[in-house]
Amino acid sequence: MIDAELFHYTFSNLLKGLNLTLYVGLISILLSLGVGLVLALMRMSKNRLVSGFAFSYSTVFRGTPLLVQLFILYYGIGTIGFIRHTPALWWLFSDGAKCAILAIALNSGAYISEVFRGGFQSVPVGQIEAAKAIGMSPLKRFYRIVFPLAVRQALPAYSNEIVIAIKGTSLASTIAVMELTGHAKRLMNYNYAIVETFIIAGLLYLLINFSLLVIVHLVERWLKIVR
Amino acid sequence: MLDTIIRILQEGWGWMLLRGTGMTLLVSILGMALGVVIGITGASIKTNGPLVLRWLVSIYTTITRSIPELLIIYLLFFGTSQAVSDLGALLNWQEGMNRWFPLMVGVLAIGIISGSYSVEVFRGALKAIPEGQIEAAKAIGMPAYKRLFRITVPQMFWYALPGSNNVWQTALKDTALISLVGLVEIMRAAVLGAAATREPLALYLLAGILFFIIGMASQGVFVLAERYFGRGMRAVS
Repeated sequence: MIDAELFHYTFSNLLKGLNLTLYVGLISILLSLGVGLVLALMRMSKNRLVSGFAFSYSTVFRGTPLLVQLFILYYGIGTIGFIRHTPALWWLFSDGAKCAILAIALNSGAYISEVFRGGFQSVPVGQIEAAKAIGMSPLKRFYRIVFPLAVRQALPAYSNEIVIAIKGTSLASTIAVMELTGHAKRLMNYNYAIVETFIIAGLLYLLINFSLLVIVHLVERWLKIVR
Repeated sequence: MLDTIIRILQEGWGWMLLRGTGMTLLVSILGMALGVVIGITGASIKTNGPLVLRWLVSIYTTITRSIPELLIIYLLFFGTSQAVSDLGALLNWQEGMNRWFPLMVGVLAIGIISGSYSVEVFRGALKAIPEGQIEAAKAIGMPAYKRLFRITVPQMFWYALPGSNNVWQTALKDTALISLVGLVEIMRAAVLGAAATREPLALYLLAGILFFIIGMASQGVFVLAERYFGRGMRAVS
């Protein structure tokens, strides 16, 4: 059984990483929403070039491991001279946490774009025709009819992507960002309280994921159309 | 960029990456196979097992799917390394044990992770088999094992193919994480190459391309398999 002192030591050490996990996770989730939305809109575009780009982007980012993308961004991009000499870009690519946020946002955005695309395609044509018939402008049609309906349709599938993004933050530990998994690895490596560390770190991840899922569920309920 | 890549490939890293590709395929195929076994077992328990076991399967799938893959890999790696090195000392086979240990961890990790997704895939596949067919088989007096091998199993695999494709694609990409405990697959080969040649961008791009090619090729295999095993079946959704 876990003794109190060891538990306290492990727990307080893991808590140190929790902040970074939340920071990387929450920011990348917010950014990925933007990336996903833009890509989904591009996919729906009549312009072949625009929709083709969105399709290739989503295929490439979904077809390669997040770890590879992270290493390309952090170790690869940094070797390009031009990046090193542009302060704004170097600010982004020299920091592990920022690279992790970028990698997760770009990766998760590709998956989210597919979820949103499904949502947009599910909007009944009749609704759009009706909006056109009463003379709504394309912009108004989008934010009054298409977007609200698509979001409601996409939310349940979207919640999976949140869990995947949070799990993705664990990869930040591979580029020297000491978040939850990084601390867990360090503890497992030298104090041999392997199972205890796993259980506590696992519970913390469960807690984060569960809280985020509850939030999505609340949003879902809030958006529900009462008939 | 292109001439850098060609130079790196000529310096022997092409061969290294190719061997890594073989290892990636080995660990993902073995891991996926273990996952399918776990999936079928879990799905059978969830459809008609005792309540306590059904609970256990649900706990396993929920926990495994909400905890980072990397954490599970570290648990398996650090959790068994002592036992494995003791066993190696006992059998006087340390060298072999050290060599195969990362592969065993990889197969086990990919099996446990992909298994948690396979449970749901196979549960859906079992449910998709019409009850009437089982009743008809009973009516003409087929014994239970014959019902299983003639009616349930062939159809279950077909219904499970699309979902298994998704599980496979995820499992394939998850194998990149096994590089972090020392298995020399594509990613580890790229890391070693990046350190030796000081060309990380080229090496990681190559690694990404290799994963992409394997993913696309296996996608094709699944499409062909669906067509082959779907002979005489009515299309579902």
